Amino acid sequence: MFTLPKQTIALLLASFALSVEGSQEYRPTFAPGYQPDSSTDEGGLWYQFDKMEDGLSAAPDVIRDQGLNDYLSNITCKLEPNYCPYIRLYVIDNPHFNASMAPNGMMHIWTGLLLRVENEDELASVIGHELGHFLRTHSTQRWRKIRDGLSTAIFFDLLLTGGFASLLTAANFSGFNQSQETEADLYGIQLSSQAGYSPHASYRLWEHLQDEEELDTSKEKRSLFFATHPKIEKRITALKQHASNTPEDQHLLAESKARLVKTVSPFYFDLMSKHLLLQDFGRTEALLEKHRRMGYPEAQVEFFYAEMLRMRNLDGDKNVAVHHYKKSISAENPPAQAYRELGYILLKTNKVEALKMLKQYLEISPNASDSAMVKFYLGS
Amino acid sequence: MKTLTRYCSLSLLILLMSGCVSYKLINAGEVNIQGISFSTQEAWSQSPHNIGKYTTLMTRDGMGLNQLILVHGVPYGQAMFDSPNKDIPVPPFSQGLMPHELENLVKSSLINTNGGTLKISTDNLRPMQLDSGTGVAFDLEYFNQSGLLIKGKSIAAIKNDQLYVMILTAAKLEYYESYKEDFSAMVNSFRI
Repeated sequence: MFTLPKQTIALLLASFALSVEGSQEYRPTFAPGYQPDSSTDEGGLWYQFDKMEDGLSAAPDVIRDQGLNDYLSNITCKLEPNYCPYIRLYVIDNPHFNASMAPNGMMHIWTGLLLRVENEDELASVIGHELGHFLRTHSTQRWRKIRDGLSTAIFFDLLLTGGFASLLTAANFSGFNQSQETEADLYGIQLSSQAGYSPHASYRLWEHLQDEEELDTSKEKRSLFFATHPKIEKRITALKQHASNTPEDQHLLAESKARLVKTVSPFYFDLMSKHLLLQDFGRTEALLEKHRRMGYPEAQVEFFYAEMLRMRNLDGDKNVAVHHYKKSISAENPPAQAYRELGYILLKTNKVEALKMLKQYLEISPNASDSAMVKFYLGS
Repeated sequence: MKTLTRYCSLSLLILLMSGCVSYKLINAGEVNIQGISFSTQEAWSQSPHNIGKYTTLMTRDGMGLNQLILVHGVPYGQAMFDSPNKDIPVPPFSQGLMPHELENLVKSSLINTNGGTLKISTDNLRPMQLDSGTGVAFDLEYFNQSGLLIKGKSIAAIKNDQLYVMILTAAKLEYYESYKEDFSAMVNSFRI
């Protein structure tokens, strides 16, 4: 007799549950402009987030570029025009993949997310998901559950368990629960579909992230978003099924990709420089392959490919790095650093070529702060 | 009574032992520690703790506000600092490094010994001529985990196949501005 594996049955059940839930229309649980009474527990929670938000005004890791902020705010407003005036968006300069939304309307988008989405539709699907959590007041519900759970746990701790119960409770409530995540997913799809974005973007992003995760050599370093969200395979299957009846317009998708690349490109060099510091070489390779396909500036993509290989420094990496530095400098608008790094790497094998590259670096960047170091090699 | 005597003896022993672990005053002037010498205009307090077997840590106003890290005599194949995160180990000092590569080694060692959390940027890389050969000096900057901007200066050089490094850092607000001239003088007087 043919039997399905347990995991497949679970996936089918989850997909069925989603398809049933998917047919319903989600609505916000509060009106636009809602402010809780400051004497309530919710008012206290908002106060804490307001204080946190005040701290962001001088935070060094907030990107305040008007163009980038406007671009992300416009997507948010397109997704939910009624609540848009009450949402404040902050671009956090952090190379990890994450986005979050507080109950008071403070939204965080980490730069690691910008490097991972392939088009505006994928970005809108993440923002839509976070809006789903916000509009259904999931954070407040979760906070109340933690608070109530901890009160009970502390009572048990005092009587019986010596701290174990509260530890267990805190661990169990560290993220949204499964039904809240599903609701946020479906609400997100609802918002993005209404705004004209493709529902297919919602699972495509997770597929790319799964590919990236598989290339990561250290399985312990799961991204924060993964750590607080349900199993990725389950999510992909469910979202894919939900989007299966909607055709996708390839022309619109190409435009959506072009808009994203155009907006992020001015920040690409800085964002990738910080991403490289994470030393997730497997992930970086997957990311750069994606950026190459997407059409980020070729000279920069090749430069970072070479930098990744130089830093990883496995057998043969430096030879391949030379190839990518050369591709970088033969592409349009190469970064000056490509000449310098190619020069440095060639110093041990081809001094004539190395000195030529270092000279070119100084010609392009005569006032470089490391010119004394480069001149040292040129003079030696 | 016997229990009380035992308790008092144990407490006394703990007190004596904790007395052993204390900061040591390093006077201003010419300082010579584990093969590194330099001159400083103000005194330092040497910490009883370190971040690796080849390191000496000092501060003037508290480790969170300013630090002097000396790395002395790291042989090939060994790392400058301990690795708290096995996924991103502190890179070992390897044979055949050219002077400019020391900057990257120091930078990634600092990042990795802090669990990969710091985004350190370096600037003003320049060669430094020492009796032992050519070393490098550079400036560094990062925000610590509390969001405080930290600025600093470093010098690294190799002697007899061993790595020597000095890293000076201080909170930009107040401390770096007050100490930067002394930091520069310390880097310029660095000898191994």
